[in-house]
Amino acid sequence: MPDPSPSRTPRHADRISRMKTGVVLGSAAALAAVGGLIATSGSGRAAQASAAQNTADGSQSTVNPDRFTGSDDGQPVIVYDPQTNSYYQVPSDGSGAQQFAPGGNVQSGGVQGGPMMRSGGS
Amino acid sequence: MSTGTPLTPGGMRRLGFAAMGTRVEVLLPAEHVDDGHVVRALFQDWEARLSRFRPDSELSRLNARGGGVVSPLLAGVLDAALRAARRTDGLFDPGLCAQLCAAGYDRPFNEMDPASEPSSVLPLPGGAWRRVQLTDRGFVRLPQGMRLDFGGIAKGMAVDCAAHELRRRGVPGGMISAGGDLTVWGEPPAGDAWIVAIDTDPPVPHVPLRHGSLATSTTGRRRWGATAHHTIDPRTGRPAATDLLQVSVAADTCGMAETVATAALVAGTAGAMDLLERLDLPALLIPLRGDPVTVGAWPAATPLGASR
Repeated sequence: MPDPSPSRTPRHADRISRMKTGVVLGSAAALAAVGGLIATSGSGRAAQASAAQNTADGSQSTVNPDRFTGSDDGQPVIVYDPQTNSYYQVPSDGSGAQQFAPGGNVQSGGVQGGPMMRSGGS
Repeated sequence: MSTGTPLTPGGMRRLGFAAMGTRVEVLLPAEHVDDGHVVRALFQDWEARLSRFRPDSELSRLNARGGGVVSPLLAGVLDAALRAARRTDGLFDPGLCAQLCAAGYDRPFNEMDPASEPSSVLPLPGGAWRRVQLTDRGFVRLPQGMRLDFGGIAKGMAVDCAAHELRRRGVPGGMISAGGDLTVWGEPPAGDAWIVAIDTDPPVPHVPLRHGSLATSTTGRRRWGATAHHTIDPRTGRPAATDLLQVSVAADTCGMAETVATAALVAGTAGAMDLLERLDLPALLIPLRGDPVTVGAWPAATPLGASR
């Protein structure tokens, strides 16, 4: 995916930063979104309505007709429908900026307040 | 590997339980703590349906018969897994159950003999996922001899699903982690981000995560015998001989983060950087030897401890 940020260059060596040197080559601009949030809007609601309609129609499953397209346009999300006690799938809607909070506190040796969760593989 | 005990911010409550072979933790606003039961019920349901260790699970029955009509849940997870396999050029492979068993991981990890060694029979490489048939009516046909394992991706997708359900119930913000694969939503209880500690030795700075998900894959856990571990390289069918110890990836969804982290771990440093650059996902690579490497927008900083 092309990145207009001038801070990023096409070479791997320039696009990574080594903790040893503490150099941050990704600018705040480069912290822009890489895709959609967990589907909560737009197509997500449409897909939800579609799935509910499938159920109301008495079809054998609540499968969203948008599923199984074979495309690779984002990660679909499984959604639980408590009304039918079933699961169905919505596509990622591709909207919304997210990612890390840009902030110098990381560089200064951690974040105030301590960690809320740990991630270390399982 | 210790990076400090997670803290429960004021006004929040922490719930924890065991499911899907790991520990699930939920951080919710105190006034919404009763909604946490939804997360537990959801994980228990997914485990009952999708565990390869339960002979009566839907996944085990599908693996045994090689095909048939499956539930929307199983079809959805399989669909996502096949997308993830395509996205990673097969470095993430959901069809490695037989190879995991050949490596010795044929029962829940806490029931394994830590001294056991992989089978001497050479396992087949992966890649059979390319021949999996999945129709829009949920009919599945597996290639002969292939069995599915949804261990990692199912945990990640369950996190996504649980977070979605809590949002739907009006929970304004929270954090759900399944063995360290986690997602956050809403306003953090303090500051402008949810703070995640990455387990490494020496420790690295905590990661401020505003939205989305973060997952870590490692060869440092779930190990047995002399060198065996649970991350199979689909190119060989054996535990991956990678120069990476651990990979953390941030992405829109926990399912995406988990599968890409696994693929990057298998790929090794050079392949991981190519993959992560192509997908434009921030990541932290912890090599077996040498300094941690950040990719993309992952915040980098001086290590908190001594240089590796």
